Amino acid sequence: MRRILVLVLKDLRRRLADPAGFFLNLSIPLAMAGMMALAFGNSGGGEQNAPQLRLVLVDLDESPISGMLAGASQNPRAAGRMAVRRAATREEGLDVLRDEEFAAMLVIPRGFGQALLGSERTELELVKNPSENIMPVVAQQGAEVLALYLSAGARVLGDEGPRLQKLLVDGAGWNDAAGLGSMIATLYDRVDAAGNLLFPPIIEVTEQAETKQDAGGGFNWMSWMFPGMVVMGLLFTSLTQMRDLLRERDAGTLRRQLASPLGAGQVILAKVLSVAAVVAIALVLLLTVGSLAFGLAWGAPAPLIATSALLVLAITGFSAMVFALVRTERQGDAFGGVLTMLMSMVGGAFIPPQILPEWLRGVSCFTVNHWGHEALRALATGGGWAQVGAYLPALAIMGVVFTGLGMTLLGRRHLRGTL
Amino acid sequence: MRPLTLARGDLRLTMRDRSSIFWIFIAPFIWVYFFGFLAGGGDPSATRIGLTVIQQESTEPAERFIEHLRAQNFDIRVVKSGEPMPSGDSVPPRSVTIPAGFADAIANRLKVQLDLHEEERASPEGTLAVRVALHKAIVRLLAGEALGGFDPADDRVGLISSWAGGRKIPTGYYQTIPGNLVMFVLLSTMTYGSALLAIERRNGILRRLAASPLTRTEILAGKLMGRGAVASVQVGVFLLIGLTLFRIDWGRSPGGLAALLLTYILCSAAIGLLSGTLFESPQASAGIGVTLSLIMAGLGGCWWPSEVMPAWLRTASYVFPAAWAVNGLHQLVSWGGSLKDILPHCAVLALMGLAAGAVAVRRLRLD
Repeated sequence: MRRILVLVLKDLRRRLADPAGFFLNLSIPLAMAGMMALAFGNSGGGEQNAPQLRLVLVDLDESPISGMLAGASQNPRAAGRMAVRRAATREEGLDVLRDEEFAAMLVIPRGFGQALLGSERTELELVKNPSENIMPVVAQQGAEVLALYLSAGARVLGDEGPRLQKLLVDGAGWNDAAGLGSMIATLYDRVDAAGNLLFPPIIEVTEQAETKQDAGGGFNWMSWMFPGMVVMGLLFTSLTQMRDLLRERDAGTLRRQLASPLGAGQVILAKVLSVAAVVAIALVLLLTVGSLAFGLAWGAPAPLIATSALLVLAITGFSAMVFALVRTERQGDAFGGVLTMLMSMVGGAFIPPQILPEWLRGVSCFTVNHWGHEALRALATGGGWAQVGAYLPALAIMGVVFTGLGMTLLGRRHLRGTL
Repeated sequence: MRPLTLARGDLRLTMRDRSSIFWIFIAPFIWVYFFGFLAGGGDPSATRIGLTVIQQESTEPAERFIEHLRAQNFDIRVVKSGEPMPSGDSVPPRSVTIPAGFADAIANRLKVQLDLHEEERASPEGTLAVRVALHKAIVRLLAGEALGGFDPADDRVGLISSWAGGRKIPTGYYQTIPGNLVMFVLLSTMTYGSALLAIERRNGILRRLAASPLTRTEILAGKLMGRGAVASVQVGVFLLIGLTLFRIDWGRSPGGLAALLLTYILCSAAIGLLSGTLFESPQASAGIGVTLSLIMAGLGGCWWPSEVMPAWLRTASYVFPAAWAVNGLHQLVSWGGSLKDILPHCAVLALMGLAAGAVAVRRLRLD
């Protein structure tokens, strides 16, 4: 045991003497996480991080009604969520939409106010930016709601619309006090009746999302994203470290160790343990960066230690198995890299596994990424033994199977001198 | 001619390496297929979003509310009071509950709450659509109560909506192919391109080239063209597979597309070469190359639509060639633009490439 420990320590010292490669492996997940934090904020979605809707408004009507509509975007609540640029013509609006990357252009047609008050049907026009995907759809949904409210407003006005139009647009009828009074009384009654129900609507929607929350009770988007990046980073680290076995074979140091009073199994065990030690150091670093840079809390120490230990075992075992199956470093890089990328895709590193089709979610259950991601995410969202308990047996099984298989195959190849 | 021979040699070397073949020609399409498949292939406004309505009372307002939801292109499943809740993956990931006492609350002008429950697999855009749909159904129901009926046929204001440019709607593969083309060209030039230079320096190939009757500029031009040739083959495969397999319409201007992609390839190749001159070890140049190209691709709009980024970051992203290339492709593919529309993009990419190439010439050590 002492001999193995000495080997592990020497190996570890050698591996960490040139930490550039080690840090490069960690830089990929950290750069990806940092970039996403920069783009979406640490907590990702949510009202405060919702992107601003950039809208071009073309008012071809220029009536008091269309002016009110255009002015509504200036109220403080809307102004925080929308950036509205006015354009004089449709052509000018299209140029702004294209050149300045606005999401959509809302065109209020000529005669809009007159039609609305005159009980005629009219249409708003929304032109969406084809080079954007999300915000034009948001603009369309907002415009649909606006059209609905305008229709409801027109219904409230009913047959008083034409008279209101004469007052507001033509400036006629202000001297008819009796007519004005009856119109105001009628409108007041209608607005009052509708207002009791509609302003604000007496039916409210309360949302209950199954999304796991962080220790503070809020949803931290990073608590979903970062664990996936951690597992991917550990896999790359482990593969790079395990590659060292083939380099030692080429340099002849492994062969010479066969002549020493050490069994092949002991040599391989020491090598695998030193890789596991580097992976463990990488994990500690990534978890620390997760806490300091992205505000993630990793829960109680005991479940965290158990999860970390099993994750390190499973990942080290995986890379041992990969390098037991390949003959050259390049094959190992290619095979390991491809597998890591595919496993990360279906294991939740880039998208929530919950939105994958059912068959792909089935495939993802065979990956270390899936179980490691789920366990770390459970910890990051305030979970303890009860939450991570479901994932640990799978990690343990994968760890034991991969490490056992990998070490057996590596040991055989070492004895045959083919490692 | 001599730089061309060098370039041909580099191209041959890359094509002989199986892992390069995978990462340059196979991985991009796995990526495109995976994310394109997840993004869906159709028009989002035509997609029927699933919603389970748990109806705890069978009154007229409750029925009318459900009808208003059905009218909005939703795939509604109604579970009446006493019926078992369906389970499994085919069940919509969102449900809304119409509580008992719904009709009474409306009749008495009292507040009433609908619980919208979302499972973890519910997509954010679907949830947004459900929120809007619920709001519209609520307004229609309440306005109907207040005004004595408010059917869609009575709407005075309609909405005509269209996409500018008259092109196909950018979803699914349409959405992922241009961004991935830009990202994988950057990845291949910045990893294989820069690592190859470091390997050649380490193995003394560059030293031997220095002893040959080739000038320094010719060596660099050859290396640049070699990386450009690999990227050109990659782009060609992308265009071909996009056209045949994913039926992507690359726009109305083949000349514009060629100009944009050519300047982008040269710019990426120059940056890859520069990266190769900065690091001694192939591992370091490949590792830094991966990290930098992922950052450039992410912030340049290859991973997510850039409109979701803060305005300052969106503006700042134009320091990267990826942002110019993605924007240029959108001008051609999404807007149906011409060569004239992407000339500024080509100019910026060419300038970036020249700047990177100039620094690479100064820094290149052949020994």
